Amino acid sequence: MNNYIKIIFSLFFLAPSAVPAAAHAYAAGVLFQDTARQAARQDSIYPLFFTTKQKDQLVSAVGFADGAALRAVPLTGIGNALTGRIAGLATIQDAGEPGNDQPLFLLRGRTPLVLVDGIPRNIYTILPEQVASVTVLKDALSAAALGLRGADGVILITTRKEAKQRGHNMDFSINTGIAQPLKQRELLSAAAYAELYNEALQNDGRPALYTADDIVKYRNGSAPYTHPDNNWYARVMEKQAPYQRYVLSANGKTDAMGYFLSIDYLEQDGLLNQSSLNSYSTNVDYKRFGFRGNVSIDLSPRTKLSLNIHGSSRRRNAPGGAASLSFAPNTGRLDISTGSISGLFNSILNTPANAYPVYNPDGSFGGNQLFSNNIWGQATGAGYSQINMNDGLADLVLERDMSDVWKGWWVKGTASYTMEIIHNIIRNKSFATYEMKVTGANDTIYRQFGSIGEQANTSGVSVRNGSLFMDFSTGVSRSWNEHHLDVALQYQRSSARYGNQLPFVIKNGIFRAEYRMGNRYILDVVTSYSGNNWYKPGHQYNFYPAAGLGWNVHNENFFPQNSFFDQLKLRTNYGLVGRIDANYFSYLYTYSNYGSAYYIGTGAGGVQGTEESQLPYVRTTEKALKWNIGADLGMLNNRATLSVDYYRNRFYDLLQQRGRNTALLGAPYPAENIGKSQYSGLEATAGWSDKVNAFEYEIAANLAIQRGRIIYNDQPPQAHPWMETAGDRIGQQYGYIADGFVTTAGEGPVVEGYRSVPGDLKYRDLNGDGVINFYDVTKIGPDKPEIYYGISAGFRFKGFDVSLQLAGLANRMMNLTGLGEWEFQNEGRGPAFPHHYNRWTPETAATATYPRLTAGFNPNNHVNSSFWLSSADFLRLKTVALGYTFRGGVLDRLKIKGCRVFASGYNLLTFSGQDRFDPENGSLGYPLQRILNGGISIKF
Amino acid sequence: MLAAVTFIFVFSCRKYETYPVERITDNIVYDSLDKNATYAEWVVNGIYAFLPNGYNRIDNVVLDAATDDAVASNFGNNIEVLGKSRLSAVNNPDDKWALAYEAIRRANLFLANIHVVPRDETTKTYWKAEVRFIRAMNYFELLRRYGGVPLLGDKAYSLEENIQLGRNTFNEVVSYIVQECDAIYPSLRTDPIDNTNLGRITQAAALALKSRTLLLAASPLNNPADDPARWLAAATAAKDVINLGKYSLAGNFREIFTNRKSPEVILAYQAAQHSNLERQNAPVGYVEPNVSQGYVSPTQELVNAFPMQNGLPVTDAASGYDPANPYTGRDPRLAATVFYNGMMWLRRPVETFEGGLDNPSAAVRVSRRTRTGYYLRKFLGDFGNATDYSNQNHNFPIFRYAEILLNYAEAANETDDQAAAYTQLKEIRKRAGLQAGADDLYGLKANMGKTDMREAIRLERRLELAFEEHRYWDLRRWKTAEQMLNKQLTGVKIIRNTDGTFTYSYQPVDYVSFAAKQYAYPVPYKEVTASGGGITQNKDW
Repeated sequence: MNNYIKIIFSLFFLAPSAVPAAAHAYAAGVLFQDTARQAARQDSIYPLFFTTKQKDQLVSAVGFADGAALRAVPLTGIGNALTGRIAGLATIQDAGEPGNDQPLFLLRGRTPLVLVDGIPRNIYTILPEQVASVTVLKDALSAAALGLRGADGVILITTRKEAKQRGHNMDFSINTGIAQPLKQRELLSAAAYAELYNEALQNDGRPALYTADDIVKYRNGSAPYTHPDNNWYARVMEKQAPYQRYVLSANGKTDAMGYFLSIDYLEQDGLLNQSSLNSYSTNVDYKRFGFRGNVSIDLSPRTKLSLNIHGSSRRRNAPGGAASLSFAPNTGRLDISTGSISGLFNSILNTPANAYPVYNPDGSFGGNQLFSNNIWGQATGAGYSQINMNDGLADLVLERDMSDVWKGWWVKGTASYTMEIIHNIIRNKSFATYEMKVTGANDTIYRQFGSIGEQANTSGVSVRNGSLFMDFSTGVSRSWNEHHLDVALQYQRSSARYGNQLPFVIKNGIFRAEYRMGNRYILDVVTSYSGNNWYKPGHQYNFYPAAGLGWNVHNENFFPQNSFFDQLKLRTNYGLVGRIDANYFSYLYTYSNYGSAYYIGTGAGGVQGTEESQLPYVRTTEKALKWNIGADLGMLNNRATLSVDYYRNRFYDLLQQRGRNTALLGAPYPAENIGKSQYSGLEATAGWSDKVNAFEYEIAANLAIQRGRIIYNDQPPQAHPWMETAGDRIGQQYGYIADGFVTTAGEGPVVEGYRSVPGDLKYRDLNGDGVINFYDVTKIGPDKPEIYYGISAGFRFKGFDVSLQLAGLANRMMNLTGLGEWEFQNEGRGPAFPHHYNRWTPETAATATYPRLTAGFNPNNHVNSSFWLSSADFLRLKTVALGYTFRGGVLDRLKIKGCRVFASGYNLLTFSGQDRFDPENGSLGYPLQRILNGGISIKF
Repeated sequence: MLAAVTFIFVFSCRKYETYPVERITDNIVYDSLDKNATYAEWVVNGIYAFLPNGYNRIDNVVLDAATDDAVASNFGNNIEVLGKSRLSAVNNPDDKWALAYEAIRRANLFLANIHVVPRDETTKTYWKAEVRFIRAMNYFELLRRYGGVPLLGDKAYSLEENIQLGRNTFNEVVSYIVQECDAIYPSLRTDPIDNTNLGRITQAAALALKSRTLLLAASPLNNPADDPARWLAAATAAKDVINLGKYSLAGNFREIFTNRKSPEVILAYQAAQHSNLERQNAPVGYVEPNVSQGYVSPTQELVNAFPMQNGLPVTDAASGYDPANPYTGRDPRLAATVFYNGMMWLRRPVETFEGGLDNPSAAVRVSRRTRTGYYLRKFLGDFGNATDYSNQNHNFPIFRYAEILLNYAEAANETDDQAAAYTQLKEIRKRAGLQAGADDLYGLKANMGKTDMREAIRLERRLELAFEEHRYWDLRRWKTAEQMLNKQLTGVKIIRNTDGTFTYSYQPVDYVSFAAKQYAYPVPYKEVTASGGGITQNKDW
């Protein structure tokens, strides 16, 4: 096989990382970090979008993670395994429910597209065991071939393919472990709540509610039905839940074919307590079964056919309640939330400890007019719902080396079909709560709230997506003297159907050319001409060109040949990429009908209405001009590596409402292609790896400093300069500037119309008019760039291996307002929290860190201001994995190539300035989890 | 082999339409072949929904909870933004700017396109006049909130146009509304309207809007020079409605609000039948399925304003008012307006005494409880002896005949025609169920001059039109808000004695405040900045 076919084959049939590295990892039976090692190798092959590049030919900024390292983490999905591994790729895990716990990705400030083998996929369908590698395409050149989908960058996942060497391998692994909730908010006891509530009422000039006797009863628990004291987290949540996973995978290679097969089964229990009254689960359980078969057959020495099939079936269970779904065709991210879970956790943070007894003496659910929804009833008495998610795909790839016709010519065709069906089964019922009232010596009455309903069963298919992707490429690869030229042409068409909408069709013509001279100079050009049918004809297609230059300085004659500097590469690229946000045929001017617009006639019947739909606007793609410049350095026999990248991405044609969107038009203005923003930043990855006798070790660190700014947002001139927002950090927070506490009643400046009392917040009166109103709102968050960093380390000694991963971020602020933060919300019926002990009182005026308490909404204190901003910086020990591999001896006689026993953990330690909640998701909903895992993996 | 690959690309022939053909485009809505004008009629229906609605529309309470008539039962209700001077150009719970211009756009688009549709001219003429009325009504809603606003005429702007308009003056907007009312009057349906078309705009509605507009223009806020010509115009406009002779006061005060069709209602916001108002406003002590929220607490000030049944104020020694039985022998409208202790509701007496079912001790967990000892009763169905709520008609009265009579009385009094004012007030008081008395004055003082009569009319408006969104605007239009809306408000504290009698004492419960700049709402800040200087902000905002 000649060179070019090797490259093509490596795309679909070879593991993406360099053969020796991966083979080494496999043979050792160790799932070892190899970030530093990878960076050092000049012959490592990186999978890119429908092509591959050898490290020393690469002129773009590309992040890489090897699948073996990712699989070492006890995770159900691939997303959380990427945390902290790749400079510039940040993850924010905002939800922890099993099966809904994948993070939000931020790649250089934007949400990247997730591709599997080049095709957009829902990240939940990707099983970690099938992942050979993850490549992150950060800049214009690497993503230019995606054309109108390239602007936000790409996370490209490549699946495992046939074995590298002849023979058959099988690997069976068992993982079992427990998941524990990360930090949850502390709740106040009933007595503490009652005391603070009385104080708040007095602050408001209202009479106290709880008597001293009440508080005694709350404290000693002597009247559990009339004076209950519940810790709702303890009632609803378990301390831990089991988790198990079985994976059987095999790969192999013979003369005519190669294969990779994998079967994966996962069961993860939720952390909710169960009621013995139910024969069914109301827990947030997750079950997943998946398989993949990637098979390739050599039809002739020059022709290869490969077939990849994948299927997964996932089921999420939840307490009764409606499920909601949103699907973003652009990113392939499917968000499924079960309202019952968020509703349950919302209730916990909205219900004081003394609200009602869990059960009344007669066994019915406690409740009252104020709290008619018993939390334990919500968790266990409302039936259950299931979301069944099934997907399947088949890829067929046929390729032929046409060198027999014309030297260096090759052709390739790909067809891929995916379907996804999400089916909900909801078995809801309603329950009643009762308020007990003792009216006489032997007379107790129960007052009912809500109604007891029969279980109502509904089901529906909420998502039916199918998409067909086709690619046809051909190219020529030629070398002469020290020159090398690769030219390829590619046509792609993808057609996806969502529900009853017209297909979403993207057509993409790609031209690539790469010229290299003596492996010193590289010129790489990629152009896409791509478009989408949901845009208006005439505005559907655009050119997205990009070009890059690279210089392998170490291949120059003048480069000193010493052992200190091994490699130095300089590279830069610049290009235009697009972002599709077509909004289903929104260029059409249409009307829509709606029912019961009004009521005419004595019959009181509704009459139909018709109204203008959103006014049409002819959209084009959002676009970004991206520039990246970087250098790669290898030193001390390539034991030390350093990569540095600077980028400046100028987004324009961003969709937003125009600034002068006057209501005089009489209709909302549509979003128009007018916004501009800029993301710039610096990324560095440094590594050190070495071997001292049998002790191999490595450490790698990455850092990203990122700044996103609004360049233009069409804001009309404001009344005061501090109200202007152009130039601000993207995601900036706005509010009043807090200026200490009021010490005497009536003191200001406070919110206009508000009558202050001591302990209220004062604010800075920016326009000097004596009152605080919207003219005094300005930016209150930090203006500094965001910082993301990660550290990976590992060592291997004889049979032992250890690896760990840390990830952190800095210069982020949280706005601690509303739920879980402010006292007695919801007209005063909400709870208070332990941090309210730091409230202002006349005695603690000097040390208070919280305003005086209010029983309900306070229009002066409970508004956005700098007072509520708090640092969200944190550093987490994300993973630790320990293992020992047995080899030889008895195992050889049993034909076992290796057996590794291991223990690993996820989210083990968190360092943060916030002690009340988890700094990543705020601990308002279902908690994030710590996973402790152990297992065995046997290789045959 | 390659042939097979190529084949994959060839079979992708067209299987779908190129755009969603099911969409309703404007040439389907205004279809030159549609004799039924189906969609066009639906457009008109949609525009009807832009008539002003009332009831508990601001954070579950009525607009008049921002006056001295009531407070919200819950603390921190958004109505406090209006009632406690926290209003701003970015926070206005009663902002109507965008909504009104949406109505105006819809009307103008309809007027520009309806000529295409081959429906019979009679119907089209009605529709056009109705739509123009709703447009004028929305200008009125803007006028009393913001003062002069940009008049768009028949123009519906497009996205491409740079809309940078200035504000028309107050007087220009008044003239526009009046001209529109005059212009559409002949084209509207005559009164009384048939059952099928109940709810549609009639000629009387156009006259009523004109009356209300001219009264606003003649009022002290907008007529600082006290130009008598304006009062005369307002009087004439009100008299025109009376002279139409098609409306009269309904016999039963309560039924005005629950009968779908009433001889008194000129125009009402039509709604489906429901029991939401009962559930929002009735006392809080009722259980499933009649759980009620008691959102509004009328004040003692309002209760005190109701006279005795003999028409004499409770402060009058001759009135027969008994402080130990404050609710007996009162103007029957009191019982139709507020819930007070002892009134029957759902087969039991309302208990607003301390610790009663509807005013339970603080330890009892109810959503909220009355702050004043009263709940809002007006507009609710007659459920005194019913077991459970049932759906009722709850059409918000936009114009009713009693208002017209009071408009006329007010304008006539200012033109020194006290006799006319007497006639109207007596008619109102008679219907209310007050006793005529020996002097046949229904408790009114005899021989009142302009000033006394003005006070009498203002009191009558407060009582008769309570919670119908009149007092809030009346106090502004009379320019008395600074005096009337800067004070403590009181409620009653009722102690049930062991012998079953009650002891009443009165205590402050909350305050209401008003700053002079609130006589006009601030124009939404976004509109000021978006206008590029064309739209000036109101004074002191």
